[in-house]
Amino acid sequence: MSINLIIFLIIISFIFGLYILGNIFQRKIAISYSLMWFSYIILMLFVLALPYFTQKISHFLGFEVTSNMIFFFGFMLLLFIAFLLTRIISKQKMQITSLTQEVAILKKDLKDHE
Amino acid sequence: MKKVLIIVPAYNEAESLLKIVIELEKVKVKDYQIDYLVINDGSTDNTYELCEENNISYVNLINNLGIGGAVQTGYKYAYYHNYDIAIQFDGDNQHDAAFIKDLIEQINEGNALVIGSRYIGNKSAFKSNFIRRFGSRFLSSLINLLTKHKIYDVTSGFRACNQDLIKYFAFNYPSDYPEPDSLVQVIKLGYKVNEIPVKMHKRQTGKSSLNLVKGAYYMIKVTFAIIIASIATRKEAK
Repeated sequence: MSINLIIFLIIISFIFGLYILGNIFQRKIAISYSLMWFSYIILMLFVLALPYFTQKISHFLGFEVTSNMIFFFGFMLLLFIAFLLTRIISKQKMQITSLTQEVAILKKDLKDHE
Repeated sequence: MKKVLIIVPAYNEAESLLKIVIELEKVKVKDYQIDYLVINDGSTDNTYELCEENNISYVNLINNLGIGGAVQTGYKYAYYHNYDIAIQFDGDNQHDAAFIKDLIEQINEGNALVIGSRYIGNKSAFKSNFIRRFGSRFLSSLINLLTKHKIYDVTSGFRACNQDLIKYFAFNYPSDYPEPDSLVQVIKLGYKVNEIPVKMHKRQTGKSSLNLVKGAYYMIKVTFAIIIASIATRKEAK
């Protein structure tokens, strides 16, 4: 992997990491959800900081080019995050459903009480 | 005196609703107090105003939840108010209130869930079109295969259930394809299910929620839901 690509990816990861941190400190995203994004940054920095080690692993796993392995794992992580989001949406859908139902019943009970 | 709640889910059914309510108010069964509850599922027509003006017993959902969420609201209401029997009755004039007493009778005989069927007996002249019948038959065979129970009208929205199932449905009612999905769950949980012939009418107002194009996609999704329900429902969940 060329030194140019490594430096470029490190800079991008850094900026992205700072952006996420900024959002956490401003309390714009819940910490529990920020962790999955952070894992991506940490993985990137770890891999880029140890080019020799990374090369060995990618060779061992059968990737022809080290950068392919980085992109592959980034892609897998994004898929996983997208799936987590689906899970969160499904849970919230259920929560909204039961809220809507309870409000409707409560309103009816209040009206019947009058 | 035992209490029966008739759950009437209504989404943009203002045209037919009043007629149904008048019919339901006339239903009398000896030894039973019969109440009904219209669930206005976020209708965009004047269903809400209609309910308000005519003193109809209703609850108003502030979001459109779809048929599953709407019907579940009725089960929750029945559970919170200690009803003994809950009956689903569609808000589009397809069902015939004359058969409510038959459903209640079947619950009395020890069934947990009773389905009003358009496919058994010869009470119903209307059996819906060929494609729907084919789809229904397929789902019926699938459920037979997975549960060893033969139910003919698995998508019927005219059903009655006892207190145990009111409690179960209040907190476990599928949102997407509720009739076949919940049927499989109930059988898998080991409850007694029966099917009786009823008369069903062709929809007079509004249009069916299914059309030809959506039909095939619906079948795939519903098949998936049924298979999931039959695998994931365990007796101990009761």
